[in-house]
Amino acid sequence: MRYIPRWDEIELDKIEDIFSRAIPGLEQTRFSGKKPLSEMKIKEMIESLARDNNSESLCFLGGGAYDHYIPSVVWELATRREFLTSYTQYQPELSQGYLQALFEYQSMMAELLGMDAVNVSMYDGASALAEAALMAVRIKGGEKRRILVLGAINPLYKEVLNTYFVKGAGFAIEYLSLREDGISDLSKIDKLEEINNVACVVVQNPNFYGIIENFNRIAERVHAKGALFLVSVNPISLGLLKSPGELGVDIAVGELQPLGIPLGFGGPYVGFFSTKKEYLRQMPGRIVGATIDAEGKPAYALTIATREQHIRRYKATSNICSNQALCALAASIYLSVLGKEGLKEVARQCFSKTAYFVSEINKMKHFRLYYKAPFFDEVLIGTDIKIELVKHFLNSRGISVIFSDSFLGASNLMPPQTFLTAITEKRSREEIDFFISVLKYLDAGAGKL
Amino acid sequence: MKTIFEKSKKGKQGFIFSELDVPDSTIGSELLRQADFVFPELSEPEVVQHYIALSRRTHGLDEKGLYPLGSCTMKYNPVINEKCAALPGFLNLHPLEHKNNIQGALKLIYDFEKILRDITGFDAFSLQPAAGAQAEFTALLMIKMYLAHHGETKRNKVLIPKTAHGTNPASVRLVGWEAVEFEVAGGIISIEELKAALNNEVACIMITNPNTLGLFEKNIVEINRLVHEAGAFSYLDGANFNALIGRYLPREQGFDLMHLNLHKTFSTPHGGGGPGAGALGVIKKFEPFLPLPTVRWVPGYVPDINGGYKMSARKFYYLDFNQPLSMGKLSAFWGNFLIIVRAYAYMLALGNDTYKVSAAAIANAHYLKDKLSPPYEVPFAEGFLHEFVISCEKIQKETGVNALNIAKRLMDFGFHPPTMYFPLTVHEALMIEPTETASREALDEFVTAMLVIHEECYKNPEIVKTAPNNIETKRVDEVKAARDAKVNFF
Repeated sequence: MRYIPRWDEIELDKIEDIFSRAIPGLEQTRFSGKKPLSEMKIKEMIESLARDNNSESLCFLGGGAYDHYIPSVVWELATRREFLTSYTQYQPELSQGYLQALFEYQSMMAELLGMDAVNVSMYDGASALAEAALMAVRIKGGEKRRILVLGAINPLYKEVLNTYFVKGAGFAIEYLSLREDGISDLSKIDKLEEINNVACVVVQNPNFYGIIENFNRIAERVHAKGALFLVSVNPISLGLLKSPGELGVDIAVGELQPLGIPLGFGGPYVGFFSTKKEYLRQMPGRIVGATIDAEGKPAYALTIATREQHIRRYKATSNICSNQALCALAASIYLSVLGKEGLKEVARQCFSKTAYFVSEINKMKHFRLYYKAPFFDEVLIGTDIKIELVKHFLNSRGISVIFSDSFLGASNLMPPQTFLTAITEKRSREEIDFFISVLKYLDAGAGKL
Repeated sequence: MKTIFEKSKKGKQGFIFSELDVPDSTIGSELLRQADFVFPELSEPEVVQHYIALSRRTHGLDEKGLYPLGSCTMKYNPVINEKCAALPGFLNLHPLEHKNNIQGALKLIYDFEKILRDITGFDAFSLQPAAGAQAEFTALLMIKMYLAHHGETKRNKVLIPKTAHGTNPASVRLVGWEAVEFEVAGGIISIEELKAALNNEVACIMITNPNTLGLFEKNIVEINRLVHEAGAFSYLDGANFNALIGRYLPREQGFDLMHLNLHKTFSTPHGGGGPGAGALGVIKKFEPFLPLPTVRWVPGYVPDINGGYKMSARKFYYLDFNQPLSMGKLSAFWGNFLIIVRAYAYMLALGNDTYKVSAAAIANAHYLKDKLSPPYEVPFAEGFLHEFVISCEKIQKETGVNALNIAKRLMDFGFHPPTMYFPLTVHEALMIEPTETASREALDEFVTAMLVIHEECYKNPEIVKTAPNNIETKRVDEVKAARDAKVNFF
């Protein structure tokens, strides 16, 4: 066995004896798998499975995962085996490099978000949102065991929120219906008294339909009603759009996938979690802090661990132990290599390409921007052509967008006769034009269909 | 070492995007960011040098091939697994891609679940949980919903032996239940304590087997019988499954649900804290409550000569969301898929040699224990399997050197320390798990280091108390870190 260096010197009789004495009365059942495979065979088998996927389609998909370009240095560095194979940094003297990288990650994200404190990571954007809602209840305490979801949040995130917050914790979620133009009905905030015991108001920006909502001066109104303001945000949009800090947000969370994490059929991704200084000790997850070593040199360590499960057990702020640190590291390398100008540029390009796509849509008769509102890099397109036909045409030409059945069982937020599409900086004008040409063909022939 | 912010110089760029090939557009100014932000500005080589320097200051598993953290199963992470997870067919696959385009990924998940069923005896698996702790939460919520479905709403207590991982009680809290921790006797669960704790309010017991002392719960069949007799369920925390893999089926020990940590037993990297993956196995009656979605298949169809379709032998896989009793979704998409690819590659490499893993893990633990004790004290030396716990209590009383000091001194010999002060039931604990992938050389070198340190405790305790002395970073002031709470460079 090539992964067991000492196999040949092991006295098997002795080991069998240890088993039978330690585990009396239970029979062994040898795992009867196939013969061990060579590396070449493994590669062949798994390559064949990978080929059974078609990842070559033109990806205009979004819905919480986006096809951005990942600079070559990102994973070349993140998968350095010192990082990859190390354990959680509970022994700071041996982990200064990784701890510093995570401290820098926390700092970069804090800057980008305009927040004070960021943790090392959560499982993904959806679980980060669920944990943020639980944190809001912890902060508000007492009877405030309800949250108010204002805008259109990703239906898949909604499912996860429901799992943790409603089914798990037994709290309640109030969903307010959107205005007809797809935007949150902000007037409801002033009537929060009518909905008792709201610990926080939750929004997503840009929202599920890609709409950038105007949350200027909303935090004040939420705070005036005694609730916290919680936002789930696409980090790449922050190269262009108002940061959660500027909006007075109390807890900002989201999915880091757009920042250098491969699509990977949905994971591993990584959730970011940030808050204001005063709520630092209510955060879930690991946090790195700056300190010094015995010689007074700057050093880093995991800190404020009295919130965590290995110390606090039942009273911990969360049960999270393993997180997605390596993905957070990759995101910080992505941000480092892009720099400030790079991040602004990628946001500008995503928006401009989406705007170009929309300008072409606006020229068509049978396709239209469904909600007439500001967008970032994702838009909902409505049509009066049979949606099944649109789907068939796009599929057969290798163009992938989101139709209502893409969300499978998740509660469906897609209006009938629409599709959702995201256009990142990675899509060339040629690719966008090809997409447009397919839609134009449908548009022109619509009368005959 | 300077932070990346201190190396930054305004105007430098490490990456440029292709020139924008569509007209530049602008967004309404009321939505635009006004606040400036400080980001590193460096050239590409400077970024590379920075992270290479950081990686060199990080102690990886390959440095010694022995990273003896008890209950963490720091085994070698095969390189081929990484190559498989980096195949473009997986890497570039969007999770909402059309079902025709994801057949390979779904087949891989399906086939890996089958391996896990075979290796544990459970009837069904979910690969949705992102980590062991999330699998615990999932299982507890499934039990809660199962009980509610059967009209049992009074049960709200979960029994947890004192030797359990901290995630167990923390997960209990997440489902709004109460954790009842009970004492163990002689290192294992006492039937008497268990009987006293069981009543009609108990929903479930969470057991780690072998437990965190490396001891197999000898009475496990009887324990699980009593639990079932009391109308409760038994959950296995499979963190220590490396001791049993390929040989014993947890299902046959009477467990109803269990999780496996793919980043422990199944060789996927720990990544400095994650991502890992938790696989959740259950008996038939819990299957309808598993998280969404599950991977299933129907016979496929291929075009026939008449222009229609005929059934083919090829399976067509799909994500099944049609499970009305499901406990719900855990993450936005389908779990940590690329971790599952790695674990699958690992099982292809092991095949029917899998039973050798547990044997070698145990052989290595016993090899170490035999050479370390004496002089070190091992309170539960009888019948341990893949890990064992040293107590430094005697050393501490006689020399003032504690387990933490010994752990830190190991760094001077180039080793990552064992797990410290855990389990809570052993004073001054050092918990050692070498795993099957440690070489003879690494084991011997570790023994030598430990024996030298033992001698130092009595002859030159100061050198141990002040350790580490020979590495770049000396003892880190963790109290100051917590007091200052400086978590942001700016």
